Amino acid sequence: MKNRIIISCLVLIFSNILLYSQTKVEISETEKKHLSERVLQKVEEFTKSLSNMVNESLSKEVRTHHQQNILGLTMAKGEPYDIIIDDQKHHSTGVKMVTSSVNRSVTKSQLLKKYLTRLYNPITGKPGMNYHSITIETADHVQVENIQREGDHYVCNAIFYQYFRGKRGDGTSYIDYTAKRIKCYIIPTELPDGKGFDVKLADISVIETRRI
Amino acid sequence: MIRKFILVILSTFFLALSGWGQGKTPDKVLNHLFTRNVKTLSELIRRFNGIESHPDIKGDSMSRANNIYALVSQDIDHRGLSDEEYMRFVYTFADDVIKWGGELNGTTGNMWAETKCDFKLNGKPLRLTIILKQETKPNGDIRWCIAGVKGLQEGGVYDDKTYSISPVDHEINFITFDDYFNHNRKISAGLRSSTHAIDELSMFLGLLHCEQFKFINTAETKFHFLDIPGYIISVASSKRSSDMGGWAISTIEPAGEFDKLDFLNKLFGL
Repeated sequence: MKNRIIISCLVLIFSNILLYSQTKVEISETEKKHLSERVLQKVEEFTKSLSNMVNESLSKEVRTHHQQNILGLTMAKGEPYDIIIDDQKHHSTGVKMVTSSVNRSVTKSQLLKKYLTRLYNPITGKPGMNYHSITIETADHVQVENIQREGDHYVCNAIFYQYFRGKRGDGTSYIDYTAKRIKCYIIPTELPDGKGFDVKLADISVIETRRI
Repeated sequence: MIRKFILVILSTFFLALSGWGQGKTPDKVLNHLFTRNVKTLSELIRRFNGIESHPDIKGDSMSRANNIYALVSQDIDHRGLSDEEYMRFVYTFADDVIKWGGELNGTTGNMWAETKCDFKLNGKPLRLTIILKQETKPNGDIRWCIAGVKGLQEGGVYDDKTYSISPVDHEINFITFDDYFNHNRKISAGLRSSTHAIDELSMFLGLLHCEQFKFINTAETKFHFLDIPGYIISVASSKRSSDMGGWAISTIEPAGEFDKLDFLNKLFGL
């Protein structure tokens, strides 16, 4: 009888622990810091590759490599993908770039792949936009926000500011500062030396706000 | 030959290296804007709750009030008050917030998002307002959920008119449903009983199953906070170019409990 009571108590304790572990959603500050650093690295790689992709002083091969690198940093390399949210498969037509402006209330959405080709067309070696050359530089900081669990993975936002300069054929230039918000997926992965996290960048919101 | 080869390799290496260094800008204005601006709603909430501070605000006894003041949009409607009077009003509001001792928090059920979205129904543009609230799911996750929709009636998707079906039709097993449901869609919502009102959210969710109803984009988003005793505040994207689309308090409305209920009713279009 005594043994039965002890076993019942143990079962109850373990089931509670199991229940607690299933409902636990908050991640520790140390974990958050670790994940933030991983996101930061990826976003910085993204912004550096973006600058290099439009950098005219680099060879066509190097610029194309950076364009491929950017796509490699994103979900499914910019192609359509599925992700499980709330135990339900969600389909995305690919990573999107959503542009909005304080001057117009309408936002425009396009696939990141297409946007990148507009910035640098690897076939022609020129921008697809009406600029002879483009320069993109990023502010010193990247801010990572709102890391939270979403089923079997984590999501967060990263925010960075960029300086854009487009030089036209007639010598005139368009210059602006843009704020970009980017959704990031942090996907736990099994590595040979233990568990790790793979960070993939997803939809980007571009806010054109400050024309210089 | 070997010397040439080494030179080419080295120049390529240095060129690539110089390329890697070009990502960051020495532009002080942009870097300053980044640290100063309210880039996310979470950042605004942290500054409002006194967890973080605007970089230019001194950490003295006025720090919290000054931070709240700095979060208010410079384009806010002064409601007939002069600049100085409105500044005093904002500082009174900040004092009330500090006395309250609570904090803005999305999980209390008193934070609402209102977003204007563009859709197309049968190829024609339709602007709807979607109202969302945060809910804690059974597994503890905090997620946004759609709580209401406005604009279907104004957009002409349905109207208050009701129609009826002839008693003759029941004799032919309501075969005329084909006419009503497939060829007179515009009036089909009017076939409801006069004792039954249309629930816009349900209608919207029904439309989402229809291939002819397409989401285009989100145009504008606002957040409303009803937690602060005596006030309703709204947060929207700043229109100032130097704020670079960051978040700012766009309205501060003195409001009692009745006003808050009234506000919610209006938010839902009731």
